[in-house]
Amino acid sequence: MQEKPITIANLAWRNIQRRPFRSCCLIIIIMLFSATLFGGSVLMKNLSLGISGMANRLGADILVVPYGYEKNLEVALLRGEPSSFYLKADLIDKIKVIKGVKAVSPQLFIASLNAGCCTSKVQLIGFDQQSDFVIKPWLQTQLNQPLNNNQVVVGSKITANVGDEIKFFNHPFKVAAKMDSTGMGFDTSVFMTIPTAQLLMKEANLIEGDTEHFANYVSSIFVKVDPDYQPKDVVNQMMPKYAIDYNIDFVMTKGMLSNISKWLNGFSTIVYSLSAIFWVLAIIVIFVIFSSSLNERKREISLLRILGASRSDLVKMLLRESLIISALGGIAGIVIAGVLIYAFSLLICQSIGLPCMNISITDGLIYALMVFMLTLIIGPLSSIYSALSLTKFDTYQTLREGE
Amino acid sequence: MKNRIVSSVLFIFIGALLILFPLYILPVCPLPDAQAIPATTMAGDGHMHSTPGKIMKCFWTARAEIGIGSLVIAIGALVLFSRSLFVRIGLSMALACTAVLAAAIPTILIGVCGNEMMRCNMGAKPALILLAIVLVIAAISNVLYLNKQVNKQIR
Repeated sequence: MQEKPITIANLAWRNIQRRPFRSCCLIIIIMLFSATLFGGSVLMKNLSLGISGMANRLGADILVVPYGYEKNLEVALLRGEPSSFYLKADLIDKIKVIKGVKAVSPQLFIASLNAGCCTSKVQLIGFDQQSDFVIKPWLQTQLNQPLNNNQVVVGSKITANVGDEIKFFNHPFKVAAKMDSTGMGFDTSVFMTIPTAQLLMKEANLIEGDTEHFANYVSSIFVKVDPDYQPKDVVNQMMPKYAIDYNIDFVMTKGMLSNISKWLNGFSTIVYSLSAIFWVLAIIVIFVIFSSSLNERKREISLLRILGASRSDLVKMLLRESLIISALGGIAGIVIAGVLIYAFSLLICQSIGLPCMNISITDGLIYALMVFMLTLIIGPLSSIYSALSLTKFDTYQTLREGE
Repeated sequence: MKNRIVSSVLFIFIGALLILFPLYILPVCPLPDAQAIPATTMAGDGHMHSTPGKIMKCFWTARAEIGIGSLVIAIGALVLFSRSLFVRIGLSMALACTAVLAAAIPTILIGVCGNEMMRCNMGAKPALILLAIVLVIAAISNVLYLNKQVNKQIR
């Protein structure tokens, strides 16, 4: 078999292989940095895409809910966790005439059964087809005809396609349309007309209290404000008139989204701080390890000098060693973080409880490239001092040491 | 010796994770109440609106993975006690095939709940697939390494 010629590239690679434990430790430290930075950045992008998508397409500026149920509505919108709450429907006509209100659409929420192992928790939502401006923008294909009493529209994460039959409270429904991925609670919700929702609640004996006049109740009212008016001004008009009489409260979607943005900013600070710590740590550790191995490698370097390697060749070899370690750590970190984020993206979003959308492959590649470039800097930056100082000692003296 | 210890510890660790993930770390959907389960309950069709108390696919997937995980642990232990390189190559090949089976259980052979938002679908399934991929890579790498050693010895 032909032996490989001794080149600077070969020597650098063999040096890494010769000390597998040291090399693995260095690669792991660099991997921690690249995985944290890449994983954190992709996750933040996913969250910010989900939030901006929600802000752009939610459509409503103000959400009117019964007093004390603001959080329930937010949770239903963001995570799709089912809940039921009601307010009087005659408020809709009163809100319509308020100055600055452009459109009003009610919704009726029903929490589906949550029994047994895999019976999924589904939020059933009754919506008003005539006035709706919340659901329609998300539909994959427009409805040719209005929904009838046996038809529903399903969220993107509901395992049913158009034309399929699904059962709720033993009542079969046909899927008339499916929604696009919203990244929020709508993905796990099922939509039907308000009369159908009321009928279903009666059939399933879900109504308690004022059963005779149940048709006069809805869960929340979505209000779209005229662009010339501020949502705050509209709320200020509604508050003194109806807040006490109807026992209602208001959720400003901008406020809700700005709270989420604040949380996201905090999260990004943690991710970038952690990445910065790992980056500095990697530089320090490689610097210390390369400097400490300086003495034990003096004879090796001297021998190479005697064999004909120039000083610049030796510097190149040491820099190449650290570059290979950085590249391996960077690639490993990006691949591991990418695979974990891809595999568990749904679980992560569900655990955080925020809307989430997957970033495009192009964006992902751009992030990966940026993180990889940052990682590549680590090795040469931390080993340049050691590399330069290694070549300064006297070759003859070093070889004779210990004789 | 070094290879025997490292590879065997790695295989035993992955085998243990194959058991622990669907049961404790990222568990499949919880079992319905005992009274609600009929004696003859069989795995359902994965439809999300099943009748209350019905045991779903993910439960059986977790059970099957206990068996596969135990098998991986057993083979990992055999790798530790096998001095012959050829036996270790054979055991590693068997592990690679077992890993394919471990991935096939939650995807093709049994599956998990139909709804994407169920916890078995979001956590246990991708975890089991990833573990199976890691096991395949580890087993094939070990086969290649041992093959190299055998060639060295022959030379």
